[in-house]
Formats: sequence, C-alpha cells, structure tokens
Amino acid sequence: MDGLFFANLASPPLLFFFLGAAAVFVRSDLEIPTQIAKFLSLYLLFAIGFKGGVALAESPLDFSVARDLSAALLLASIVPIYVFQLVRRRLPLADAAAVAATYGSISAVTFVTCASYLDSAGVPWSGHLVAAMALMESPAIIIGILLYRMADRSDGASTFRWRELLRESCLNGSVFLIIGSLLIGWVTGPTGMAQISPLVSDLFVGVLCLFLLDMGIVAARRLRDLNRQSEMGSDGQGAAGLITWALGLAVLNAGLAGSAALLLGLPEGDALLLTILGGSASYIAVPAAMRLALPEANPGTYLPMSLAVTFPFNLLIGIPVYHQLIRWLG
Amino acid sequence: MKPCKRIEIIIEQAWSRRMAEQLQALGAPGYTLIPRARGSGDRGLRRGDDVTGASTNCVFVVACDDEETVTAIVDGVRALLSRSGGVCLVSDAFWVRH
Repeated sequence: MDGLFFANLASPPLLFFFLGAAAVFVRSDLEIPTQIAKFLSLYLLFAIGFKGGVALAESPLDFSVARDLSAALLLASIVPIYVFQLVRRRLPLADAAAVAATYGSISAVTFVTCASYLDSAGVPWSGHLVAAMALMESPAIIIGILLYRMADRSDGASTFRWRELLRESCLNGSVFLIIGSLLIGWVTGPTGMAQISPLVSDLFVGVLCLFLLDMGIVAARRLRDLNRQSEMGSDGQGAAGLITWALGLAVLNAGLAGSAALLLGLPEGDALLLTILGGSASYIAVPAAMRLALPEANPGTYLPMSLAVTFPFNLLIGIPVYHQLIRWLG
Repeated sequence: MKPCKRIEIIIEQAWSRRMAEQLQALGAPGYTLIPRARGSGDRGLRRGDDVTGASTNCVFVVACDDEETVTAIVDGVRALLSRSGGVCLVSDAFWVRH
C-alpha cells in the first residue's frame, strides 16, 4: 500500500498539481493563460482518445467490450438519480440537480492521470475504456436536468431549450474530440500511431504536468472561494458540509463502480479506470452545460466540490488506494 | 456626430449565442462582443480562469439611435438577464459617423 501511495505522490504530474496549488497559497502571480490551458486540455483529450483508439484496433471487438460499455452507461445513469435523492434535502433544488449531474458525469483529466499512473506502473489497460469515458460524460447532464424539471414546481423552466441541452451535453467540444480521436486511432491503428507517436506518446506526461499545474492553481482558488462563500453565510451547506459531501459522494460512487468492475471480472487496469471514472466528478462538461441549462444552480457549490475537493482527493488518495483494494479483492 | 444610446450588456459567456440571437431579433443595428470579461456581482466571483468559460462573462456593446428599438432591446433582454444573471446599462453617447 505504502509503495503505491508514495510512488503516486512522487510522480511529476501530482507534484506539479501541488505546485500550482502552492502558488495560490503563497500568493505567487504564477498563471497559465486560459487559452494555453485550453490548448493543453485539447491535447490531452486528443492524445488519450487516439491512444485508446489504437489500443481498440489492436484488440478484438467482442462481447466483453459491449458489456463494459453498457455497464459504464448504466453507472452514469444510476449515479445522478441517487445523488439527487441524497442531496436534495440539504441543498437548494437547482444546486442538488447540478451536483447530481456533476457526480454522475466524469472527469476526463482524472481518467488521463490514472491512465498515466497505470502506464508508469506497467499495468496494461484496454482502449475501450476511453470509449466508456466518452459515453459516461453526457447522460448525467440530461438526467440532472430531467430530475430538476420533475421536482420543480415553479414555471421558471418554461423557457428551456432541449435541443440546445442535447447539443451541449452530447456534442460539446471535449466529447466530440475524444470520440473523434478514438475513431481516428481505431481506423489508422498502429500505422497511424507510428506516424504521430512523438506527439501523442512522448510529450504526453510533460503536457499532463503543465495542465495539472494549471488545475492546481484553479482548484486552490476554488477552495478559497468556497471558504469565502461559507464565511459570507450563503444559503445551503457551509464549506465543511460541502467538502464532506464531495468526499462522501466520491467514495460512494467509486465503491459502486469498483464493485461493478469486480463483478464483471475486469482486469486490474480496467477495473481501476472504471472505479476512478465512477468516483470522479465533472468540472468541464457539466459546469458548461449547467450554466446554460440551469443557471439557477450556484456554480459556487458544485464547481468547488468537484474541482477543489473530489479531483485532488482522487489524484492523491483515490487512485493508489482503489488500486490496492482492487489488487486485494480481485 | 449623432446622439445615440450606448447599451452595454454583461452576461455569462455561455449565454452569448442566445443573447446575440435575441439582439438581432429585437432589431439591434449591430453589436460588438467582447469575450472573457471577469469580475464580481450578486452571483459571486467570476474569475474567467477555467477552460470551459463556465466562470467567464462577456460584454455586448450596442449603439442605437432609434428610441423605439432601444426600448425594445431593454425590454427584450430583461427576461434573459433575470434567468442568466447579468447587467444591462444604457447611457447617452455620440455616434461618430464616418
């Protein structure tokens, strides 16, 4: 256990994440320009999608792939429903729906970091898990909005545009790029990989470090905002309550996903990736869709929960602990 | 120079497409969109630092010399702003014709 934990702790991506957070706490003016951070995130989605596609091309498409993808889709549909029921009595209705969507969806960067962790540990994983990740991003957004509309008694949702929500949740840039890169990797296979390998493979961990540096800065700022908001006495939960929820939901969802992975008999690497997908929370696709579809929800609640608490928790503790548990139980 | 009204609308980046459609439907003679605005208001701090634009605002600037159109724009964007949050400012200005 200690070995996995400290190996993860001493990895460059995680250390750069904490460097970014430290910059905020010591009030350094370190900043990654937003457009560069966006480029880095696009690179990571492109690279992981392409690598997943190539891995898919190298392995046969059989029943287990369809089974795993169905399980991923089912998980992404169940999680927002029970999360909504758990938090709706403690948060305003719109916030509860947004939290449900956030925790039902996934974090692509957590997945990428976990894949990088597995690569460095020499544990193989299957390419179709990238497809599972892409599939798990959107359903929770639609389910979260549906839950809100079913529970909301006011007429405020009458101006709602379903077509816009579907486009935003299913065709947003990150989902589109992952699926597109996955397909291109699948079609071109190892030949395609040989052509762009220096970009997709050699630079991958370095770019991940830079992106996590930015994520550390943004996460630490959100944590500060959460504290400030709590001090100002906003409605709903205080900072401690939200942090507790963010940790509790992460562990609960990871437990469900991990149990599913063990029941399906997934190999070690795949089981860890599915577990971390289940335990992660979105801070890219969901907030963007929520601002459009559910602006009544306070981003000061669901964004810090996923970005400032669940994301660092998964990076620091979740990945090595879940890995060890899977080794013990698998 | 011709007297006109300068309408400034600060709204979430995510709503910019909808606002642009609304302005065109309300007969605005044109608009300028300034992206990536940041600040603080009744819906909290807008840092403009995340990759999705979910905590980023934008600013629309409209110059209009027709009183009826100005009234239509102000009434029309009010409903949108009440849902999304944001600010609409109307001030006197001079339009430099060229």
